[in-house]
Amino acid sequence: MIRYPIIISLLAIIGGYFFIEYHQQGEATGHYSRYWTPNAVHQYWSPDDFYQSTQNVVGEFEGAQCVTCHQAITPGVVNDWNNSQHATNSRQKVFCNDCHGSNHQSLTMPTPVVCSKCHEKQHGEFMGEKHYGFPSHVLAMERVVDAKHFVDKPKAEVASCVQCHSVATKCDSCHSRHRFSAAEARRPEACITCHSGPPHPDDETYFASVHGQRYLTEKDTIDWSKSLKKGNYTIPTCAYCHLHNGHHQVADKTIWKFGLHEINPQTSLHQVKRQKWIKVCADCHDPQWSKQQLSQLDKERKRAWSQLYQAEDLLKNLRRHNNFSPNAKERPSYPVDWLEKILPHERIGFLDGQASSFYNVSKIERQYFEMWYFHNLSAYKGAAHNAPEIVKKNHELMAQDVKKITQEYNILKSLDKQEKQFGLDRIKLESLWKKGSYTEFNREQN
Amino acid sequence: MIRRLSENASFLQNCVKIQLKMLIYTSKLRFFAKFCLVLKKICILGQPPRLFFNFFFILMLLPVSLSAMTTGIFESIDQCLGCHQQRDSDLVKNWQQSQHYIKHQVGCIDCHGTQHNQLMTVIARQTKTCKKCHDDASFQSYQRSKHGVIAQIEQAKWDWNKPLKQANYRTPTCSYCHLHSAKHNPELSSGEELIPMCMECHSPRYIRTLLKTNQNMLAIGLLKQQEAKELITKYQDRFGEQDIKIVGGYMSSLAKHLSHIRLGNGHQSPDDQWWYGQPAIDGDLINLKSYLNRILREKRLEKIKATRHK
Repeated sequence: MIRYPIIISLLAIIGGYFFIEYHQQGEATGHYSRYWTPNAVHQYWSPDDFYQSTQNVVGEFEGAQCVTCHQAITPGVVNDWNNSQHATNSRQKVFCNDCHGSNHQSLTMPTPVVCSKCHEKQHGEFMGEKHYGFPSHVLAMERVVDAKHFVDKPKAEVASCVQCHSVATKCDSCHSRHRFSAAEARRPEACITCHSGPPHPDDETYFASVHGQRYLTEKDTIDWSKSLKKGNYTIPTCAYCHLHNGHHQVADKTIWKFGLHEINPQTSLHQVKRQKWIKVCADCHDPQWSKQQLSQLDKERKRAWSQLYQAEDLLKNLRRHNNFSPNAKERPSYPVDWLEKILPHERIGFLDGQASSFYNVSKIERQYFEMWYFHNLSAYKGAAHNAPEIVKKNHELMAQDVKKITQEYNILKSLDKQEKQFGLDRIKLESLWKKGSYTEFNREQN
Repeated sequence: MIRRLSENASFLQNCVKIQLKMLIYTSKLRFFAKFCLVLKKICILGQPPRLFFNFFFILMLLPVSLSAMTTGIFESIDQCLGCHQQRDSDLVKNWQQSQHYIKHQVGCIDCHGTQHNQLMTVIARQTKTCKKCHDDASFQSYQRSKHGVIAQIEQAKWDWNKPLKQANYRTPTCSYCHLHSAKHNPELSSGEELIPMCMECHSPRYIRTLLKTNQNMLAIGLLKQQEAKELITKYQDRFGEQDIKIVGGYMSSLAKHLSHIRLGNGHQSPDDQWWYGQPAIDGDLINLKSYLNRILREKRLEKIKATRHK
């Protein structure tokens, strides 16, 4: 009898493999590639997948020829290149065609693979980051195109997502073109275009910390051409800690994963990462002190999660008793999610796919989203970068969130109770939730 | 021949007039300049030798006026206009058509400072000068953009004497785009007017594609606003005084987030386009819809309670 389960699971594995393969072979990329069409601007941010060369100029050009024309057409690019290592390196100059190709009708936008022709070590490290999972730079693009809300929303609306997540597909996110300077990427400002905003206020928390404050006063006296090694800097910057010794990985030490979900900080893997952190801090601090700081972070996370679970319990209670108004059936579902259509359910908690539940949901769910994604993550960043004021502020905000969620919970419960008392059916408000200029546009344009 | 001479004469006369006026406004040489002006008037009473007198005055005044240029202090717009109205009439006209002048009476010295010297252009070109008034969401959106980031890192080492054109600066600053080629009306450089400036560094196709995407992104934001407005029109007959206030709050929050999308588009700051823009508007829309949802449920309950009571 054991035969049947074995055969069924084998078939399921093979079927699953082909199912995923089939869905990855669409016009776009990722697991949902058959469900969405890329916006024209995506070709610049994900060049390997979408870039198509312009056809306006015919001919093969090399080295100085490119520079001569582009000095007049795009002087900014040439000025930048002239000041870059690529142009000033006495051993071997790197010209436009070395990265973009010579045929002007089949030009390419350089990807990390192109850079790896010379910068093999850095590229190897960068790709190696995959082992540590997401959040990481190298997996950023894969994760953005697989997010349900990305696939679902009109592509012009989510274009800005791709801009930051293109850190996985091109090196100039940090080493801005066409200077490609290492010194620039060592400065904390280089990170803030993407590492800012409510879910990851790395800029705000770092600059509020003692490290950041010292950076602000001493930044002009520092020699940024030095490598990120012990003794070269008096102040840690983003790159100094997260890319220590110039090692092109940021995820190799991540324990708490942005604070997105609760983890067990004491597993052997996390103990190894903890030792890595202590080693980095040991460039300036006593290991015992660093260890203590990390355990402070553990405590902060515990406090945060106790608040989050309080709110989550209330929401799960509402889901159990079908008190959400509207519930999952009464609002638009993600067109890409066939399971959602068969078994509609409200997404509560990280593993449920809560990251996508910031639109087309009820107020209380959005309140929880804001508490989890904005205030909780900000508190985590504050704790990790040692900005106690920001931790305090966000924990207060989370306490307020719990209050607001409880208030909304009571309203929903009391309305439901009264409706039952008078024998009323659930109110039907399809025109409120499923109709409207944007909602209908969204259904058609994903 | 005669016409050309007389043209030259009037040009030179203007030069002299400007030099003299400049001197009048500088405190140290005021009396000397006034004396010269009177002398000049007497001298040019007789028509024919005008050309000669103008040459004479220019040569005489040149060293004095040059020295005056570096030391002068100008404290009111009228003083600046005394010379620049004639010298840079286009520039002044630009400025007079701008909101800087029309709405806020922001004049020369607010950006250039009161010291009339070499540094006054350098000062006016720097981002920190704009920040004095624009230290708000618009400035922050620039600071967070890649352009702003590079400027923050490198601007201390830039040569700000270079004119605001031809990619003279590694990244665009406030002044580079909004006062490009020394245009003195920031409104002249917004939206599609900026395309040629972008093309100094970026490819035309990239810029057009990006602009189109940004326009669509804003259009989607506006669509969300429209959806909110449609809902309000539909249900407004059920609003009480309190409801109008609360709904108004959601709408003004939505408008604020919409402006972040505009700024994010203009300055190419993904953070403003996204975290302060689209999902934030989604939140406003949810708040509005949930509030309407609640009102409608409560009204239905009230109605049934009233009928049962009867």
